[in-house]
Amino acid sequence: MIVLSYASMEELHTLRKKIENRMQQAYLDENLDIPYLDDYKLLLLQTLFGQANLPDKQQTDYIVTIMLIQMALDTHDLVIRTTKADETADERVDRQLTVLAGNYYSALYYKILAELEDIDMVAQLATAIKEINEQKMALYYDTSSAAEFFRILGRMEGTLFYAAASPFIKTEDLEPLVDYFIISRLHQEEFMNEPTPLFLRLSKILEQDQSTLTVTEAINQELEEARARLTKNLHSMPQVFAAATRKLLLQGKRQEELFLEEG
Amino acid sequence: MTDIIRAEHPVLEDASVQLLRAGGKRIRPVFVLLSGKFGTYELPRIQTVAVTLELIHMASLVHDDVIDDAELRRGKPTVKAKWDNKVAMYAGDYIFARSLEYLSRLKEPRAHQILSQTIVELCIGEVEQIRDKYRIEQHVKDYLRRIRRKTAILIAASSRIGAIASGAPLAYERALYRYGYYVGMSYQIIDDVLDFTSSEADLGKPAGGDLLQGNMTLPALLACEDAAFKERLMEAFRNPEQLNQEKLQPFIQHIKSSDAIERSLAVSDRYLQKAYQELDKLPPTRDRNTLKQIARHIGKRSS
Repeated sequence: MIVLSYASMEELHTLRKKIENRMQQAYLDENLDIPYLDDYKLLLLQTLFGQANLPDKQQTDYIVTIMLIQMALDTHDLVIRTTKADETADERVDRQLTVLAGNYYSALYYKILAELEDIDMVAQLATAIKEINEQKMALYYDTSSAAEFFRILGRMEGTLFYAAASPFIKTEDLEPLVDYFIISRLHQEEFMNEPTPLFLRLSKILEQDQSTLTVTEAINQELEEARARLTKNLHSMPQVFAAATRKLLLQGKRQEELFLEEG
Repeated sequence: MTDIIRAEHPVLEDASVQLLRAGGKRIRPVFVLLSGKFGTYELPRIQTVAVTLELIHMASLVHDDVIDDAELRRGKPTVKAKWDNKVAMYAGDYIFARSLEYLSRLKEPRAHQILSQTIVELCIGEVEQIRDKYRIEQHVKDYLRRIRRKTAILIAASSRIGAIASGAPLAYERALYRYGYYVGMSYQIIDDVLDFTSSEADLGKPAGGDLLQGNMTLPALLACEDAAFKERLMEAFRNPEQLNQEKLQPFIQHIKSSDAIERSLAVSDRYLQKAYQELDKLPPTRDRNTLKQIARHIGKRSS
């Protein structure tokens, strides 16, 4: 949970509810876990559109749309590489619905923007989705070191945000936020019960690279480095995003303290 | 279309054109192009819609092959078989995004609203298909609702959006939508019949695949009016993991030799008659005649 003022918490909670309501589909809800909804990305989008002087409804629709795309892409990432020969009936339904849930969330993105008659935003976000899939292919096929893996990961995680931000802000000014996206994605990975297929790929890369690090060690090392870079770059990013960034950094610190206390 | 789905990553590019190379009937673009003739026909505009509709259909097929764990489509290895599920997921997402990006040239909000609503319904239709697998106790109405979402509405939307892109009168647009819908229903019923009656060589995949996947299509549902057959099928569906082509042969043979095939074709024909009636609402042009011939061809097709 993000450390925020009561008012901001309320707003985030309302946004979460709106996204969850949009996603509802009886049979999917019954059979699949609710996809991870990244509060840090939500916070960043809220900040972006909040300062863009857009009507409230448009702000909310944009945020809901982008988060739906994010969840569509994340859901498709959960489809396993090869179907098991001894797959059980439950595993089969899970695999099939995972494919369809991603398609459904992605169709909703198009529907919301079509209702808004915002065809330019449909195109802008579609271009970002294309880029993300190119980056995913690079992660799965071409990446040969953990450093490269995290670099592409940060770029990939930020692609939707940068596409949404480009009409309002010079995207070069948002470069330092790439570490924000790395950190938020690594928090997401920590939240999962088991490694997602993306991070199983990291394990393979470490093995091929003959690294002595385990996946957890590599993640912790990257978290530490990304936090240091982000702290250093805090003053060079648009101030409006510095507040969200501090919250992300503070959250990391709190988690470490908690870990030390518990440890 | 190959140029439109060109990707930077070589595997993504190969995977994206894999299905394109395998060919296909391209019925959706044909409906777009012909519907566009009932307004002001501007080829680049209509072509944009035609290409998009085919790409959206292709993207869904690439994902369907992951859902069905299919090795072959149109006689060629599927993307998931040639590479893996991951590549198929990314290629499908890439093609879908590219198709929306491409269609964004068409600044007709109503066309986008109709298409997006259609895609949402298509997804719900597929989810319901999974829900209804191996469920013998279902009504023909359930099946018809499923194929409406699975096939008919995308063909209907193709016709309607073709009409919108050409600025055709609203009455023609509606008639074309309904024509596409009825033809789509007929087309899917025949597809489901052919899954039982065609050879593996004609289908490009093993025959009886629907039943093996637990999909209760119209011939199977009608055959289940025979209580003994229904009981035997129910027993076989109790352990889907143990089902295979060989075990299903007696069921396929029974369906083929019963009147279920003939009755299914009669239902398909009723939809075709409705499609013809919609065509009567259009001006008597060569294109209307072509739409009639297509409907007739669909009614007679054997592959």
